[in-house]
Amino acid sequence: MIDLLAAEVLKLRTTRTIGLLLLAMIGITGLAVTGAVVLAANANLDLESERGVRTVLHVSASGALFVLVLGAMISAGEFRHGTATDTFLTTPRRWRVVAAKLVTAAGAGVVFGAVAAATALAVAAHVYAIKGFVFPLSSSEGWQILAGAIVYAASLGALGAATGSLVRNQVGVIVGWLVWLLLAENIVAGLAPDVGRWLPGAAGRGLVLDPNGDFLSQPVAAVVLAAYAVTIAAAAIVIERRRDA
Amino acid sequence: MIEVTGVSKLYGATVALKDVTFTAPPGQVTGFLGPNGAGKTTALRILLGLARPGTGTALIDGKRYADLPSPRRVVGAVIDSMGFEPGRTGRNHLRVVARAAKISRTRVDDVLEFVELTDAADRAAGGYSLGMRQRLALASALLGDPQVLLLDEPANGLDPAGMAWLRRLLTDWAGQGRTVLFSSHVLTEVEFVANRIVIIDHGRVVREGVAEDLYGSQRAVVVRTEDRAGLERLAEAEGWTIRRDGADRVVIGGVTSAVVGAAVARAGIALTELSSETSSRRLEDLFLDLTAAEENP
Repeated sequence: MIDLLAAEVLKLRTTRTIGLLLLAMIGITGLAVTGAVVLAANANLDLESERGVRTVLHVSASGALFVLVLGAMISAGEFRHGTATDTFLTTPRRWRVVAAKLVTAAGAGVVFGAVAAATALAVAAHVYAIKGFVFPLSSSEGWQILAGAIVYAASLGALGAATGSLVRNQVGVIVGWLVWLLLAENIVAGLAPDVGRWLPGAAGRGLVLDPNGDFLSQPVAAVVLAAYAVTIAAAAIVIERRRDA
Repeated sequence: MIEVTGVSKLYGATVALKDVTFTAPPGQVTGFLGPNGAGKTTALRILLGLARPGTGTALIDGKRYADLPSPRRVVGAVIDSMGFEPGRTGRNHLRVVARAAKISRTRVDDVLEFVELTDAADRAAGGYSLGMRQRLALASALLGDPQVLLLDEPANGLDPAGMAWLRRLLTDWAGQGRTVLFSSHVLTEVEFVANRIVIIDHGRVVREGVAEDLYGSQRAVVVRTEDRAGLERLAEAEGWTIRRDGADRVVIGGVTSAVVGAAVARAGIALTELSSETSSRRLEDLFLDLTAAEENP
């Protein structure tokens, strides 16, 4: 399994797309945090309060969507480019491939998430200063939010990889998840509020202590997201056992 | 050793393979022939564990592909669905395969050299020509120094020099006692290198055997004579099968020109022509006869 993981990491390192995704994520994170600080300052929110920190930093998870794209590339991308054949010839036991991709995507999510968190922190501190505030580095919420953003990125990476293994269509997976997270989930949550907080997007908002609403606590949200990823990956493994490559 | 036994495969209501049985023994180059859509690729995919057979078994060295402990070291395969991540270099593509299969990195350099891709190895595979992609796929197949080579239309995209190179490779491989099974729809390609032939059509094996025997069963002698009645009496007496071809031309099957010449001389029949058909013509005839019969049942 170590060799399989090393091969997956090597695959990631030897594509050009990963650098572009990382840059895009840094850019979006910086933009989102800047926007959040400016909007909060304009609304006369006390930026140094707990509410202020949560309002500003919860947007540090917005770049996690790029990790979702990365996860889909890791799994479904192999079918797009036809490298899945080589992969299955090397590792005919396909559950190992699905599992290795799940772990690799989650790991890549941790790295991406850490970069996003560092970006968010640096940009927030900078824009706070411009607006005449001091970013409260001693705020425990701030660190909790950044940790949650890393976990969210890892979860979305795993979800992207698992769904990509199941569906095998990279564009379909990415479009499907974007439609769900940005559009459909809100509608479902509106129709059935009790169910809504257990859905993946809402769980993510719980992870980053989103102040706008009632969300799951961080540990519960993390478990819920992991359960989604593992369930979808398990479904992919069951189907892969019968499916032609 | 490749053994396919009673393999059937349905895609929906379409029969892709029906009770397909054949072997590819070590030390031989087995050509897997058939028209486009005959089921060649499906059979190879089943052998490689990429598709599942409805019934039957497809074994390599007595095991299903998925049960081989280190499949890359036993089987090297090139099939048409193989592709490359366009941004990854040829060398990195091979490094990925080597890493997952626990093959050393020096072996990557060796196979690149062997398929003559070293100069292009550090360029993105997306910019490769069809022939270079085919060579990279072959390099990937050879990484594990496998005992069995399984190649689906390996000559596609190769230039004449590449074809000659491939023919040498297949012959050398079999010469070392290894197993080669390669599919093709180009008859001359098969005829040059294969010592065994499996012909498949509409998902069924229609002929299998040693190349020389198969052509031999189609060995034909063409004669022309003014005395066709005399020749036909002789053919009946000798038990030859004959086919009239025009006014004075007769094709005699299953015998050599030497046999025909001696018998005709004894019978005192004057011939205006005595020739045997060339072997490429014979494989083509065999192929067209077998595959056309299936097409119009």
